[in-house]
Amino acid sequence: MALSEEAGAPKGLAASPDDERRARERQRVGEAQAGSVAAYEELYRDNVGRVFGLCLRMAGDASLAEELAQDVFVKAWQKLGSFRGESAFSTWLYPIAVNVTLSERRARRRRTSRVMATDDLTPFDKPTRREGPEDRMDLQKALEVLPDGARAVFVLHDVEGYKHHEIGELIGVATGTSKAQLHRARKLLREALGR
Amino acid sequence: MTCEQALTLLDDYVDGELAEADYQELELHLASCEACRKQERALRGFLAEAATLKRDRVPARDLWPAIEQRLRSEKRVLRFFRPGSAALPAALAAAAALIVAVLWMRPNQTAPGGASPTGGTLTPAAAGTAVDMAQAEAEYVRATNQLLEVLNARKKNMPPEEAKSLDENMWKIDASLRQVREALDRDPQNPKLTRMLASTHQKKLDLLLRLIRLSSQIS
Repeated sequence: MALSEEAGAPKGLAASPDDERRARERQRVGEAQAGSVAAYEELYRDNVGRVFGLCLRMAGDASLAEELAQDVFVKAWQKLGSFRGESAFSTWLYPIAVNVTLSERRARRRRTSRVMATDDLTPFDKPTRREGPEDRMDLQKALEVLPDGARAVFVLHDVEGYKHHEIGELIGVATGTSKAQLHRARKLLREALGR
Repeated sequence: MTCEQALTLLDDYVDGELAEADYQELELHLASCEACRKQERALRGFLAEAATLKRDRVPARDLWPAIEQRLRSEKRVLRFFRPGSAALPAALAAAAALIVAVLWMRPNQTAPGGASPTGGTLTPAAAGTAVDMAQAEAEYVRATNQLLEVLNARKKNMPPEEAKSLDENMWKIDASLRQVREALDRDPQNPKLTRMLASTHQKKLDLLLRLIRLSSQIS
């Protein structure tokens, strides 16, 4: 990590926009830790897009993703005292978002009588393939109907960039299981999209 | 290497996680197999597209008002329980001392040595015989309900065995309280039962406090 990221801009040099953003974030975190809801709202505004995006990709349902995003920010508020500022707030927040979405998934599976095992490879309806810029929507739609376990691993690995061992820790599965799920998810998605 | 074997290794290959021997063998295969090269290119293209999904999404409605409401609701209760807060011990000690003192100092009763059983000094109000028992117990119920509310909110973060143990212990203490209360209703002047009631109330408060401190360490 660059020195400027660790200790701010050297004396005599103007702070970069990144430094200023980090300094502002540190200040807001400190205020929120002291109980300021207004400061926490700023942190929410800065991060809601990313958190909601993750919840949406993981849950595959916009209404559920909204509920999950709310839970993430309430949970983060409860745990704010444990944030030491050693990383960006978003870096600290993201695993909380992953855990909240995965916990909801586990709870939902317990509630429903229909078993949706993580290795459920039931074929799913192929979305209509389109050419051009609409292709990305096809991938998003295909993702929504992917079995839960396969979708979670695919999103974490191929979209969010987590490593298999990190996914294993988050989900509570062996690295080999994470790899197998990823392989299956890619296969199902490519088949569905005809690629 | 067959095409089938090559396609099995393709995921690890593009992820850079293939062992050296397999890597070399697959490279050789790809160099001579157009069909597998096509699959490799398609997979890389697919993954590049997947990576573009990582972008911010704006929810259809502003989520903050609902979040803020939940935070403010929690804040009212949790401000007593933040580490280092003096409010928790003070509020609970006051409630506990009041209840226990009242129970010990019921009419015709005198606390041993003239001191509070909690080790503190009895306040004039608590030591006075005019103190209303019902009011004291209402204060106790308010304090324990607040604690239970916090604890229940944190239970989902506890390991299942901890949560189960909590429920069992609480059930036992509540059962003891009911039994002692019933016995005292039948024999209101029994000093032994009165002390037992005070002691059981104290146990419940102690247990709740211990569990809340434990749950704050877990969550």
